[in-house]
Amino acid sequence: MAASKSFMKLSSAKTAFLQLCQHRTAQTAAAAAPNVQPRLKKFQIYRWDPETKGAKPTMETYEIDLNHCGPMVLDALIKIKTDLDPSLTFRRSCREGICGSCSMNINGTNTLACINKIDTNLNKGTKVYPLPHMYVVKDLVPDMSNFYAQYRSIEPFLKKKNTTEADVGQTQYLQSTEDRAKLDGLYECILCACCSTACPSYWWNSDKYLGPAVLMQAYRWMIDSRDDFTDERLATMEDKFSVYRCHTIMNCTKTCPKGLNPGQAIGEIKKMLLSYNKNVAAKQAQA
Amino acid sequence: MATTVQILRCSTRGSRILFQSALLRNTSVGTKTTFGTSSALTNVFEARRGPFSPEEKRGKGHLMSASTHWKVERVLMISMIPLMPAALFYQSPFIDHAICTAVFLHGYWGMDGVLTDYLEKFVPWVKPLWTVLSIIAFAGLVNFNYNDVGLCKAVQMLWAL
Repeated sequence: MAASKSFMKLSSAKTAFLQLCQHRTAQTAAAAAPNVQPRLKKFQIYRWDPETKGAKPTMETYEIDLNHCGPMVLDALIKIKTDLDPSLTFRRSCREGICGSCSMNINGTNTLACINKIDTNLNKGTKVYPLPHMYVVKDLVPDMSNFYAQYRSIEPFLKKKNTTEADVGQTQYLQSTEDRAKLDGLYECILCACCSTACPSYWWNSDKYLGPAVLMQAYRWMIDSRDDFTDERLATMEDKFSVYRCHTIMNCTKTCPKGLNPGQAIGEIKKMLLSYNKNVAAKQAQA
Repeated sequence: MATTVQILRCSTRGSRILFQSALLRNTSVGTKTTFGTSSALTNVFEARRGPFSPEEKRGKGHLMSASTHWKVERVLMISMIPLMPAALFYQSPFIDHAICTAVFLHGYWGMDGVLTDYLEKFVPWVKPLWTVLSIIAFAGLVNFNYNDVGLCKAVQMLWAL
């Protein structure tokens, strides 16, 4: 009764206006829920559970209505995980193509799931596999330890000669604009491993060949004008396997989801290896 | 159980994830059919999977450093570009020996790379075998050039057929 009394306080004009608003919102609500056909897309996803005894890898098919899903493959994977199958396991973090967590093989190409648009052709399914020739921890999660160990082995940090711990942080290490421009196209690597796992040489020799991702980062430190250990860095590549298993197949550049060019970086390393100071290499071999 | 653990240790390549989780849960991952037991046949396909020290990667007994070897390979490749058409115009024992040496070295180093990529880790004796075969083949080529008609004449004879 008290509520209806407060309503009675409105003037007739305001009441009419209120009723009009309610009527119009009801109309638009009805219009927003149309009879749209669900656009069902099939996703065939590689599944393997190591904790089930004797389990073999399988392909499972999920159907997703693209009208209620974001545009990227990662959106579909998350939707499958929340709605259809919570056991689906995959790495993801930033959902914007900068962290490198969600790298996987989608329709035969290594990319990041978060920036790979779902192909809206409903007649074809989308095939999702983990990165090729990597040990699989579970479902779409590969074992990246070898990759990270190789990255660690090239010493991806600034090394200066004739400095001590006390000198660190005292002055800026200045760099000209031209020298800084040399790092463009190299520093943007997010270490997603798409390129290395696309390289056939890395498939067959991942234990000894460093792979395009790591080699591009090695090059990034070699040509950094602030780094003093270029010759030593090149000397560590003086064996049959670390660099020279690259046969310019160029799968790496083709597949890089960030548009970088590891193949060219490796070519530059090979060029640098022709004409660097080899006395350094001899000293390193003795050490 | 010991062999399973050994196989797991070999196959995780230094990563402790699978190995530790299997141990903690006390399940036997991989006892069924994933890796199986090592028969004489499957032994052939189990190459050592690292980690490899820089000395192991360098290998032993090399005449040249890796970068010099690479440079020599490319120089040889480029030298073959004028050499082949030259043989069309000038036939001489010098061209015979030059082409034979160039093609032989190119093929020897090329095949060496192929074997290193695919076969060496499974069959370590394939490299010395290839070297021995190549030496015999080169001896045959030199003999052909010296005691027989020679390469350029042989090609001419083939075309005349």
